[in-house]
Amino acid sequence: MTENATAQARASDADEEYYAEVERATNVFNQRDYSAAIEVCEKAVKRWPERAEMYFILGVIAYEMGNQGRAITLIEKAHQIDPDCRDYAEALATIHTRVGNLTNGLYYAKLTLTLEPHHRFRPLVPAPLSDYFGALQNVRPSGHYLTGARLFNQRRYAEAADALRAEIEINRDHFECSRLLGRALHMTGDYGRAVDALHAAVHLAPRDAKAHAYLGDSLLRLGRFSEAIASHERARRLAPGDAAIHAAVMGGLAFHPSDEVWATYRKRAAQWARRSVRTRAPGSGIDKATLDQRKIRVGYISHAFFEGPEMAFIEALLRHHDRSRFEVFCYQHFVTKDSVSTTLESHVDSWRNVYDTDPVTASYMLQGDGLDILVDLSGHAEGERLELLRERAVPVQVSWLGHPEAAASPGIDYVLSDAVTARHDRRMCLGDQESVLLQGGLVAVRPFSHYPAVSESPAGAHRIVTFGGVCDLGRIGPDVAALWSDVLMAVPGSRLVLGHVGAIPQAVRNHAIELFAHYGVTDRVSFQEPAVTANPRGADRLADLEYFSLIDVMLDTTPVNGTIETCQALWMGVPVINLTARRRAGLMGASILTAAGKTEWVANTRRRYVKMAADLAKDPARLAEIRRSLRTEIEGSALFDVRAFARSVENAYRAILQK
Amino acid sequence: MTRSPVSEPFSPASLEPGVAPLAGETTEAKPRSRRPAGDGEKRAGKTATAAPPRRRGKSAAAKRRPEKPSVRGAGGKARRKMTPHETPEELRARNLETFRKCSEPIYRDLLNYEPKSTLVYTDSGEPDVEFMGTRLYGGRGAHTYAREQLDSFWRTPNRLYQSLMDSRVLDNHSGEFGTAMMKRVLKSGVSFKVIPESRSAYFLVVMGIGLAPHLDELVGETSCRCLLLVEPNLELLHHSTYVYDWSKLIEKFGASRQIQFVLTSKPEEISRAIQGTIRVQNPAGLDGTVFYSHYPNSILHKAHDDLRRQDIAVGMMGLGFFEDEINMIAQTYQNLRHGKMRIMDSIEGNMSIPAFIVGSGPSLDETLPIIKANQDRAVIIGCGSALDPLLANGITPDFLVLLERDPDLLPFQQGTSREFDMSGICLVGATNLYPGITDLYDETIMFFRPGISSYPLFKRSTHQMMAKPDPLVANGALSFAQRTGFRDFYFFGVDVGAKDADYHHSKYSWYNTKGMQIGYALDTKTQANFGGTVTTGTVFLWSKNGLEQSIRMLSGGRHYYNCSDGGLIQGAIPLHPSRLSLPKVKSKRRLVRELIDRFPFYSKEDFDEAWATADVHRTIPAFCKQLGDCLKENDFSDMGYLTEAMKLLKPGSIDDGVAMLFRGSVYFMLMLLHSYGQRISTRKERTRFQRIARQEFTRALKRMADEALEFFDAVEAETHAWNK
Repeated sequence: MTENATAQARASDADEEYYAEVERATNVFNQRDYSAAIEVCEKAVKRWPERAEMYFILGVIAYEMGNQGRAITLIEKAHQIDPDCRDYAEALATIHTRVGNLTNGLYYAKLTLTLEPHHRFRPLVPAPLSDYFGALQNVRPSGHYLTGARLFNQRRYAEAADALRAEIEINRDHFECSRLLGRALHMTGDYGRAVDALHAAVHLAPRDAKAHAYLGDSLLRLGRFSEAIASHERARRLAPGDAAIHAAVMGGLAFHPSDEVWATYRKRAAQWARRSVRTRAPGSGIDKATLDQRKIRVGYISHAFFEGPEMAFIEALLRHHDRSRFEVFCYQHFVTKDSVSTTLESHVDSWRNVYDTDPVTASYMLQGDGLDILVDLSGHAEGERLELLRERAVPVQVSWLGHPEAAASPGIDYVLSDAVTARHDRRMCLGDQESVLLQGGLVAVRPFSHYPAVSESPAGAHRIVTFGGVCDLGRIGPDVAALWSDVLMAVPGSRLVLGHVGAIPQAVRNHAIELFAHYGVTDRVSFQEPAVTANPRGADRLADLEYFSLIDVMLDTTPVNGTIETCQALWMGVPVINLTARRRAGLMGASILTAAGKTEWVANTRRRYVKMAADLAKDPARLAEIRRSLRTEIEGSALFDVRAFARSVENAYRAILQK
Repeated sequence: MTRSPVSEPFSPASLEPGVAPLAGETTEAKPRSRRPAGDGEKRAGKTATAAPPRRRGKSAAAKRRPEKPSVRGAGGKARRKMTPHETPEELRARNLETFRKCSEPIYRDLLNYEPKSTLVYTDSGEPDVEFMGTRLYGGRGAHTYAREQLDSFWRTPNRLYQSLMDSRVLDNHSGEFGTAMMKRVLKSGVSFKVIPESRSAYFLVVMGIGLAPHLDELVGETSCRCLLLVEPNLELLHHSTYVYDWSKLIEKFGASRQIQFVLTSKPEEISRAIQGTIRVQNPAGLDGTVFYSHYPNSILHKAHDDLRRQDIAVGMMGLGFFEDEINMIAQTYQNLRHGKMRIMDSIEGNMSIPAFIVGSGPSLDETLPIIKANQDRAVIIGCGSALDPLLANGITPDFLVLLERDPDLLPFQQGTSREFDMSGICLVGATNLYPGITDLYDETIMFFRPGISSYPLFKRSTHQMMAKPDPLVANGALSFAQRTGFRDFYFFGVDVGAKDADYHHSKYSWYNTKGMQIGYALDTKTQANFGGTVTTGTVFLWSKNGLEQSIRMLSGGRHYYNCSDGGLIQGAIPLHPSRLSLPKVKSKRRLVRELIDRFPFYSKEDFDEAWATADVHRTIPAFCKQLGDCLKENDFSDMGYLTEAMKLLKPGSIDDGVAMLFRGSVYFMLMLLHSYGQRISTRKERTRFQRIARQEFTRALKRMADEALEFFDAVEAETHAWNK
């Protein structure tokens, strides 16, 4: 036998072996044992990656299992490897047609006329996959996008992302789907993949302002501030009059670490306000003489009356309003409700959904409800109601929490401030806006009585001090990385655990490590590894609390401070070191710590911040004492005195109405 | 066993921290004031809650002190044995097998469920559930908690009592039955308590399953025939499978009784499921329904509150009554016998033009100029009395929907036809319309109303029925628009109430121009579409519920806008009329014409075949005999007679014309039997009552059967005379 003949014989043997595997896969498939068939195919694909049949079988299995998108991808792979096989083209013609991709279906259908059938493969092709004309009569556009949209509206973001990915596998050019996928991934915290999906959306529809705005949001959360600003700017140029885009731009500015960039905020807000706000004197239409004889009608409007970071503040107020003197209305600007919304609803007199209601109609509703005061809880966050506020349907419109600023919002008459934020708020006020001082703090929360007991200090157990920081790259810019590195360097042997955000995607980890690499402390930075369970939302909540058992001292971010996590940390016995900044979001930490009676942990310079953290870390006895006593100490503070807080807000409302 | 969709995960928001108040504290029983019933609600009866007298004694368990909880062991749930022979895992396996057989969806959910909380045990071995340091039973353990709660509950049980009906709120036949029966019963010396002394109830609604420590006692004490188990946290049902013997409970219920699981965290779904179950299982068994709240939960609280606010009896309305049914059969007979009417059918395709559904609520007047300005951009579907306001303002509706059989409608319609040009309007009418009305229109599309007996008697296909067309014409108009493929719906003057109760309809409508009367009171408040509230009434609320259901059922790819300055209709986006902006439409007339032409005719052959098939002369007497037999063998106190009767009356079904003809009035008779029957305290009196009730029931049925047959004979004779 010649060498050539030997090689041929060997090839023929390999061929036979391969086709024996194909036959095995086919048999298992015909017995409808798909997992076994997949196993056979995957092994074969690893061994013979250049052969088409196994991809085709996998595609057929995917089709049978209802995943047409995956089926198309796999069979297209088979078609690429063996473009002369009619069966592959035929299957592609049929599947594309069935899911509504008629052009692609027609392309492959035409192609089949020029191709030859597979010489030994026919029996595998299920009848429906070779019936192009049957498919034409049974076109059923894919429902994945609608399913994804529905799940997104139900805030089931991970499931929504799965459905949207399935749609994209079928319709790669589905721009809305890519955009929504990006948003869904953003909401799950997977900002890296969100950016990929949104880049695809921007590529498909370069003039879609929303896609650019969303891309900006996701870039921001990856700490890519300049790119984020650029995307937001592009969105603004494409839709200069769009309130949602304006809100995204303004929200983006708030996160930018540069004070120079931030400094443009007020100017932009003033420009927007000038072009859009109706004028009327605050309080006009209220009969002040009757105020003492009737209930004051106060409405709260929010896009986020559901489980979320600020809900604890909102719930505390709504729950403790004096219903004998106040009639409380809530306007939900979101499509679905959850158990938290249901609980809130039970605390108020009237609950309305204003999602999808245009601003003019919504303003009639507010007037119809006879509100005296409307409190905007959305600010410039997603789901803003800037256009409604501009209608000035309610005699007095108030901003409280503010996103990112309470003042400088068009249509707002008064801003609720506390001693910490008042000066800044006054500086940010536009035109006739006024700041009204609350006695006590700016926020209060109910004691977290259902939280676990305070755990032992890690420093006590390991003799190494562990600092903690929220792993949100939107809040950890280069400056924060430098600041925290300084803290680490000031406390030899200490380490930093980033967490409190559930599972941390690799892209976020990589970027975080890059930030700290400049300071040579990467070996001292690690990430919380929360347990993965079937319910990320529930698990995250637990993981968030477990996070506090890992750290001794929490380092707050700046210029955007933490809010609810600061309250949680204090409750869990963890001191929080804060550095104030000249923006509302950079004063929230100080406001909370002041309400908790912990002003000694508020720094106004970077040097003091480092010193405070280092001093604490170097005094293990004090740390242990704080951990032991902090909960009891703050329980009686203004931060947890929700009744007093509600009275303080009510007094402010009354004072406003009497003006 | 059936179930509703499953729920959100267990969370602190749903398991509210703190010690749970006992049921008696949360479910205060108060007498409820009610207004007089109008025509429309006459058939629903009244509801009230009240506390029965205290029972004597106190169980030993109630005196037991709460146990201090222990720290849970690793794994928690696998720690204890349930019986000497069965571990919790074995019990769970047995329970899962039972669920697999009875309800595959519940089985699947439980099988794959991953709990976030932990099943723990107190020192005394009682199970509890712990989530983030909080215990469901406040650390006392399930059984101690349940014992205390049950003891408290039985002292002031939360039950729904219907006011005892008298002949003034009943229809002729049930009234006659009631009068005859009560005369004899009272004469025989039987006396009645204000509320039942017995704990028996046809329906037991348990709000919160938890670990199910309360179920056996509740089921045992109430001897319920239908058990509704509501649980917003699947988590808790999951844990219960380790500690509670579901197999035993399900087996106990067997085929003659029913268990329904309502596993959802949406309060509105819970209240709908409860209302729906009672309606389709046995509306006559509503009186005495027991509501038991097991643990404090805002979802359950809201659902319970919704039920209370909506008035559960509203959901029981529209059950019909005999005389009405007879008339509607006769009028359907007259309308269809000629073979000249178009009939509702399965219409394929989408309408690319919006539909205006125009009611005659008071807010219509303000919007008439807007409707007029847009009349070429939308198909206008007028609702009954909106005809005059539209015509008087130069708007010709493309369709006018009429629903009621009432002969009084004819003179109003005739008056309008004299005053205005009604050509070009297509009447969309229920088959039971008063004959003569259709003559006023160029053409008519008829449809069957599903809840009335003429539908199964005359229908040739299910497509000829229109879903949810009542109680008011706006419901019919929306249903028609949905059926005909419209995608965008705009409501005008569909106010389901009024800002000013004295000004309840358009100033141009017959109510204000010709003295037409509304047959229902406006005496309650509901949220308004554009803020504030409107005054509404039971029938309007019923209509509003129906509109909301229709919208929910057909929401995908459709948009509903409410431009009426009336009551809020959930699912229809409020839209101030000033914001209405519609694109131009090329040829509305052509679209309307094409739409009408898509409806086939109900031929004479269709009619003859349907009537022959109905064979009322044979089916009516046979039905009455069977129904009378339901009471023969039964002791009323176990309520088995109600179950038997319901098998014949088929409350949830619309495919038995004879059952539907009788069932409205028979429901009322059974309600009387049930309500009065459970208020008798001595055995001797009960026996007397049952004997008399049986006799009068059989007599009443005979009277109704005779009347029906006589009536049909007369209609047939009249038709033969006309034909000649």
